[in-house]
Amino acid sequence: MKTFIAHLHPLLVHLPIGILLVYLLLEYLRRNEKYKLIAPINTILFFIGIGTAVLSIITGLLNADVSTYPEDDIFWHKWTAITTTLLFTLYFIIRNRIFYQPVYVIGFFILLLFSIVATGHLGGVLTHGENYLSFEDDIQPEIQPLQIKNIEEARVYEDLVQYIFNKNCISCHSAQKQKGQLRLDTYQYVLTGGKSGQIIKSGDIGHSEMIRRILLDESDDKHMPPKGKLPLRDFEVQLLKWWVQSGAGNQQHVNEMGKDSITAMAIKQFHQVFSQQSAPIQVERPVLNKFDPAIIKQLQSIGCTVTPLTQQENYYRIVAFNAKDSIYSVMEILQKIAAHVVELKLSFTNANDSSLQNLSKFIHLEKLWLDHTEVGIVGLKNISNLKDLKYLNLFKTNLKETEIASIQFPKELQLISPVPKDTLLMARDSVMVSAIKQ
Amino acid sequence: MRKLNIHQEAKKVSLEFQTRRHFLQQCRTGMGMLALGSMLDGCNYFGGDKENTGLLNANPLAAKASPLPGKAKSVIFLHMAGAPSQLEMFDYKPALQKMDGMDCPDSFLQGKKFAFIRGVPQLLGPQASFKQYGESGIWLSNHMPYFPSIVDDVSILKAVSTDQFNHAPAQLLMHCGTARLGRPSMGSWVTYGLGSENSNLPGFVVLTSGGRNPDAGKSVWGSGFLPSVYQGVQCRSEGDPVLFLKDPNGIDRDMRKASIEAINQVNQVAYQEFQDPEILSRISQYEMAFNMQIAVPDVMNITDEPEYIHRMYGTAPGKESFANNVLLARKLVEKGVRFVQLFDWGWDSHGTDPGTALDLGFVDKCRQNDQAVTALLMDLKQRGLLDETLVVWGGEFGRTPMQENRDGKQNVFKGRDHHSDAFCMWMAGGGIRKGFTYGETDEIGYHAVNGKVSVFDIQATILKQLGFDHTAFTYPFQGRNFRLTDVFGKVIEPVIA
Amino acid sequence: MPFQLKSPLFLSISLATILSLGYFLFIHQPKVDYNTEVKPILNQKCISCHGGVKKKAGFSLLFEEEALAPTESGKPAIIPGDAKNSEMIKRLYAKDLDERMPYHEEELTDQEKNILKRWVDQGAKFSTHWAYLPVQETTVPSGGFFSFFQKKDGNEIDRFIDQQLNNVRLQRSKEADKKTLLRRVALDLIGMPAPKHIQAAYLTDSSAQAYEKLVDSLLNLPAYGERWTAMWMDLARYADSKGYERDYIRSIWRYRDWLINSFNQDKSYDQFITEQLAGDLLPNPSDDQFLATAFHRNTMNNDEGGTDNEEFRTAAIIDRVNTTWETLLGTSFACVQCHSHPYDPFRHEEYYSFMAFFNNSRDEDTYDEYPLLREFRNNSVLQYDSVLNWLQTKANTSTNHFYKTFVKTGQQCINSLTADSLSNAALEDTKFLRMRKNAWARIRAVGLSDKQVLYIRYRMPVKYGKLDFYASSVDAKPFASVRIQQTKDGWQLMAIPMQHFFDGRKDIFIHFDSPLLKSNNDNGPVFDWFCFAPSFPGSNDPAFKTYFQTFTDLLNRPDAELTPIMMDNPSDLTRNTYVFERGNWLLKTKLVEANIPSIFNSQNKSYRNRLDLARWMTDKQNPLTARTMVNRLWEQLFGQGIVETLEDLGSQGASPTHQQLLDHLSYRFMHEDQWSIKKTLKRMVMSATYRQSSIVDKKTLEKDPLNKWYARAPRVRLSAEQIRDQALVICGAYSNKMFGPSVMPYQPEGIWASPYDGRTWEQSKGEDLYRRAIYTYWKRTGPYPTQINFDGTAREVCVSRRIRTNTPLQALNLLNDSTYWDLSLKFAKDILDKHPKNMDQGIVDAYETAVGKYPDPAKVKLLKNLYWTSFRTIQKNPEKSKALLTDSCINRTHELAAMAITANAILNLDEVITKN
Repeated sequence: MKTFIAHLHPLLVHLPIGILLVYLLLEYLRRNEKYKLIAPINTILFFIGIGTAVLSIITGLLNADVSTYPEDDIFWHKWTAITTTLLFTLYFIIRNRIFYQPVYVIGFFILLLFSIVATGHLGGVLTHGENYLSFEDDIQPEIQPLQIKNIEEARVYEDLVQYIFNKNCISCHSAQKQKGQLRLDTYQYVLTGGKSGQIIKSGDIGHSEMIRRILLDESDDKHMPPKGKLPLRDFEVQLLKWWVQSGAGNQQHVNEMGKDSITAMAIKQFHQVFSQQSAPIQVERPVLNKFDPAIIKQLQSIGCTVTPLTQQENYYRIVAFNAKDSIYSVMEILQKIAAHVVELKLSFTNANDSSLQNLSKFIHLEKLWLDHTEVGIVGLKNISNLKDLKYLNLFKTNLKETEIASIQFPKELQLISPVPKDTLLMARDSVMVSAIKQ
Repeated sequence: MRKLNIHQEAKKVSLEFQTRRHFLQQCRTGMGMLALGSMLDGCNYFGGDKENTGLLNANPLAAKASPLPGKAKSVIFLHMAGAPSQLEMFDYKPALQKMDGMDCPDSFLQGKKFAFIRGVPQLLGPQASFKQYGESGIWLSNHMPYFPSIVDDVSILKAVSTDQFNHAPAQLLMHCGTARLGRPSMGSWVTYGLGSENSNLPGFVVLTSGGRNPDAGKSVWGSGFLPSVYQGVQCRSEGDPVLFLKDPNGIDRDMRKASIEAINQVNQVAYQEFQDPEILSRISQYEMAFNMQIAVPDVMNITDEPEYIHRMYGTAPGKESFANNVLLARKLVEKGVRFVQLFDWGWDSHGTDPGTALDLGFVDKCRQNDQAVTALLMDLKQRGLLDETLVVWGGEFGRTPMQENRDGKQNVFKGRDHHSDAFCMWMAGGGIRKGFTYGETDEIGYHAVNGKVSVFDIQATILKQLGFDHTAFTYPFQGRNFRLTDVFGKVIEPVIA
Repeated sequence: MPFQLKSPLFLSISLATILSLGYFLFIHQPKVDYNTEVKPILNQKCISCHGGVKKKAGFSLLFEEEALAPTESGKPAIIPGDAKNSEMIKRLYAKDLDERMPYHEEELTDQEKNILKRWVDQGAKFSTHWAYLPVQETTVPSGGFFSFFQKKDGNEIDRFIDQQLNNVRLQRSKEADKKTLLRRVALDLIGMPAPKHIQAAYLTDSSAQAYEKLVDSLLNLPAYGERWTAMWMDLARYADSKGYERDYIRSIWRYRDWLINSFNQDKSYDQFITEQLAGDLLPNPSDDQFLATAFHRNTMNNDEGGTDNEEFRTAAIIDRVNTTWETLLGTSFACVQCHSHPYDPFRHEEYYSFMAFFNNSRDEDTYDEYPLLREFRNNSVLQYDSVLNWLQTKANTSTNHFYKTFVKTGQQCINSLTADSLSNAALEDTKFLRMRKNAWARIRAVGLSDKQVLYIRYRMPVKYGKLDFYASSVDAKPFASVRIQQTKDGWQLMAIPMQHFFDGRKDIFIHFDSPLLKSNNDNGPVFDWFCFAPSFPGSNDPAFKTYFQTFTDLLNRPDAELTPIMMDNPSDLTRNTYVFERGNWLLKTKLVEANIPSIFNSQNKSYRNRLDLARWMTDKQNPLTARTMVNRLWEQLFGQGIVETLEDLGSQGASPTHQQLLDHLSYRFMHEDQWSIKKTLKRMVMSATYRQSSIVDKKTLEKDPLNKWYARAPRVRLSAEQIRDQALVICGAYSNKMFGPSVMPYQPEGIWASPYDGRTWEQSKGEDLYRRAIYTYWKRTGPYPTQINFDGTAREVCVSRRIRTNTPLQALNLLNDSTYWDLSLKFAKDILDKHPKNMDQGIVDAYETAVGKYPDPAKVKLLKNLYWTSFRTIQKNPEKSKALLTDSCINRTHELAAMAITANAILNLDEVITKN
């Protein structure tokens, strides 16, 4: 029964907010001669408003008891609500005295308005999360790569468990959003649990709801993380199990806790996998206008393969194997759409220095294959202002090492040297010899 | 327009893909009649919107964009048919050595089925010695003296599992996602999804060595219910590299050119009469055939490779050999072939004869394999091809830690039976992590204890590297959307760089 | 008359207008059709979560009673007649994304929402998909008001076609010219050009009946049966090998011959499929009826060592179920294997009830593929007859039947690999039971009532040994004992009299030992099968010995052709059928009995075996059988089905372009034509729609690029079989030899390379090189390349529709394959013989032979050009012609070589490999 009444709170609160706001508006209007007559009605409105407000407070207090909202957050909501009610009552009592003194009245109005809005907002935050009302889109939290050098000295909770939560859970369970009234952004919340109680029973994996949910079959509706989100990896699960099993504390370091070989492996993997800085998948490129599709037809008709990089963007990968003898035409046509070309593969063609004379127009070029061509130093100079260029393949061209050294390449460029490394053979032989010796 | 961050971008791409998929379904049922070329294009599944790609491609193998950004552009799948023993190559089990000759504990046998082991077999210690190599400190056996020089470039999966312990079904499962016949192979899926970057070469090439086709036959490169144009083209080292490629004796290039020109011109006249677009597509197929006749023998010829390459791979032109095929794989990928599948037969080390003995025939197999494979990775690397080429190595299952006792009798030579619970595969290039091992087996290498991945996970990962979400890449057949990974599979994220 | 605004007429008119406008705008709600409007939305947007596989929130839209039942919330989601209060409709309009359906997917369009809302308001009526309702007679459209202006040629088919054409404002094309039509109808009906005399008869006959006569004479040619057999072989996944690893030979060509004969006899379709499904269960089945059941013995068989036979037996059974549905019932049933059909009204359990029809067939993935039908030849025929005679006179009915079946099919034997509880024995290579020193094995629950003798088939490597059989327990005395001797040439048959007789079912224990076996590992005998039988009759007759000997000879080394067939298990070997959870054969759950899906069995009749099944399928009330076949025949002639997805007429298939026509033809097929395929084909090819020209103008092409409405005849590339057969005829090499084992025409080296299979492709000799494509040997793991290049399927499982492609490999195949080069040479020789002087005339003639039409001068010019260019090249390098011509002692080698190049080009022309 208590819970039922408590759960009426979210329904009830809308009444005092709405009614008192209308009351306020009418009070403001009442100052005008024309609307004088509404005074008696407004008094009724006040009583209804304040009555429902009191009811809301009562149910709200009950609700605070039965729910698991964080105490801190409830504190402010509770007291603003009570203050607001008191302020309205105060106003009602003194209104006739100050009614014709604009400074007081307006001041009071603003105060009331503010307090009622604040109460509502704080309540909303409790149920919908902090960013519910915000202009930002719903964004995944950015997870930094792991910054730990020596995993053995890391703190089990802070560095491992919380990291796993941050990565996989807090998009739904944090200050911003509390699905199932659960927060996993700090140790305290984790211990507190959610709607259905504690989620962790220290030392007992079998009775820890969190572990149970993670281990459910992926098709199960109760499986966590839910469908559509990436499931935890094996080693993450192992680490969580290990942490719960060994007491779910937040003080220990990795090297202070006993572990079996599986856990040791999981820790190693955790370290390996998360400390890698994952490279950005794609460069951001400006959106380009479409061009005459006939250009692509032309390219295809002389043997080029033209593939869009993704299905939306207007950027292309051009492969010219079968346009071997028509590189001149290929480059002529490509010039018209130079900005659209991101990858250009001229391998095994008759491309030469003159083919590259307009290369600087290819401002978004990221990968360029000139291997197995006649390209020389003169042509290569044209790449100097291709600032996006990340990959350049010069394998089996006529270029000499010294010539290449004379060119200023972009810093991050991956350069495939023109010279086949016979030395590889040597390296391999020596490895083999040493391996056999061993 | 506001730029999207990566996360939003990925979401958007996948949404678009979903809707396209729906479109294809509707489109297909209405249009399957036409030659598939026009069908795919009419629906424009992968090609971006029509204005963008511009052309109604008559060629069903025309290159298409992957639905998601993918690191790899092509795949070399090295399949050791017969299933090599992980315990003599990658999975170092010192404890097993100590138990050599002991009866296998009952707990390992209960409820288990084996292909040939009957009754209680004995444990068999590793028939190789192991050391750690490279910066990554990965354990490797002495049967692979060359591999250490590239070990820092590969990710080794040590706990792969399958649910088939017979060759043909397990090979089918590995390549087609089912142990039964009738589904498209991985290469078919990929060429269906991405087309080919070189229209003068087949998009999906198969090379076999060891004197036999794999146990599951041509089905492991078959197109199943996908149109037959997507099936693997078996390139042979003897006879025509591709069936019917060579002109009849006495017909030279000029004569062939004259005859194809005549055929196409007559067809052109027929087109005037019938207005059937299919005729135009036939004309371009004849042109392509003519080009293939030059391009294929050219790429399949390894004699013009320099001496150091031959020494590196251990190749000898003119024979059917694994090394030759590995070199060919490099040449094919270099020329834009999308999917190259190598089958090397003869890894079934039961120990029934010297050829299948772990201390005899198997060692030879390892050595041949090791040199060629090491050379391949080195060569791809020095050519700048490894970033875009995904290399996958493995068998269809693994081998038991027990000595085989066929029909209850101890085999004459040292050998192991088929084992499906845990075996090793490796991947390299194409956005795969370098110098990494994933997964672990118990102390005798019998069960996976950690990082267990299934064959479907391997498939999902390969597709992911090529830019597909394996759950969304489907084809409607028999009233259902089929996919390579059936209803299984999970991308092995840890091995992705 | 001045316009009176206030005239009563005007007022009433405007009132009426306003009222009716108001009615149509605000009140009138057009009736929603469930099948065409609602079902597609449900299937696309809802059912993936609500129905079949998943029932989110306890709500499913698959079956009516499910959809209206209370959901998890306790209330039904659909309240018929009250959309406003139906949760399902409310959720479509919900604002909260977590509430709105489809869940986190794109919102339905307003139109879609409206349809669903109106549907619920109108009572949420479900109806059955058209394809699951029995075929009704349809009225032929009269053409309506404007029929006077319409063509009235052809037959009823054309009325249906015209009606649709009218709707899209298109017109049928004029009739194709005589020669084009001749080629088209011949390729369609007999799969190759018509024989010369039929051609001549038609071309010279100018009467109105000429075409009909042509059709009749084509239908009567033996080649007709071969052509339609080619189609059926795909459906039956016919192959001459078993599949999987070793892919060893399977002798099943007699089934192919049965097909040819059946088509040629125009066996009524109901009989045709009854025999294939259940020929063995017909009363006193003839050899032919047994052979027909090989249809379902075309499933694959795994010989690989160490495989679980039950697993592959199950796979074969599942294949039979799927194939039956896909080929004969046009329904994709395979998905019900794992869960209830997500879109059509079939339940998971029903799959297994249906599987029960097939689950009791005797075959169990054994190496020898038992049961086999023995067709005796030569001497054996006489022996067989004499044994039959003996049985007739000496045995009672049941013994007579037992032995007759035994001789004819080798049943009812127990395969040795079902033995278990092995002790120093093994199932060798999981094919046969092998026993060693002091070995034990058990066979479970053998029915022993009325059995007095035990037959065994075995091989014995050592000189002698003792074999004992115990019943129930090894403590008792053996009921049969025998000393077996070393066998010399392969398998040996032996009859062992039983010393004690039993009733009911007993476990049998087998023991073997021989003092000659030194170690435990030395091999003893290997067994193929055991058979417990009543004793051979007539033992008190002096002639007994002779007849018994004849009988064992027949069983042992018969001069017989063995063909795998279907037979059901005897009652003591009956298998139970269980539902497989999620389709996993190892997870057996509920026991089920044979039945057809309930949607087709509203009267709850009992269907027990395959014969009942066949009776249901050939019942005229069966909605699918006739439609499926008619649709398939239509596809063979018109290049696409009326329902394009031949494999699925259900709600996941394509919608029919001419549903009424399909029903009309299906009705005629069953009722008027009594399931005659020939009559139905004739009906189709007699239509003006079929006979029209395939030439298309730009406008029509734009309007109907896929030729859905048949404003022109379809133009499709020939099938792999048609291409080969036609080339054989054109080049004069065609052999009309019919029937017999499959042959091996020219094939490049290295296509066959299965492990552990030493067989090679041994090129046939003489006329066998030039037989029709259906006689080409089919090895599943190495199918004939030309077949595969031209879109044939590998015949591993049934793929009932070939998707046509157009690839460079096809070009290379026709240009360079020795078959075609050889044929080109033959063709060239023919031409030179006919036109020794006039090459140009020869080229014209060659073109005419190939295309069946006099060529366009432009084409002739191009071909002549090719001839003369080639001729000059060869003249300059005379050694080229030597290389070109395989036969060295021919005159005029230059001309011949150049003509061969030209002939080869002609064989490659689009017009030649396409049906115009």
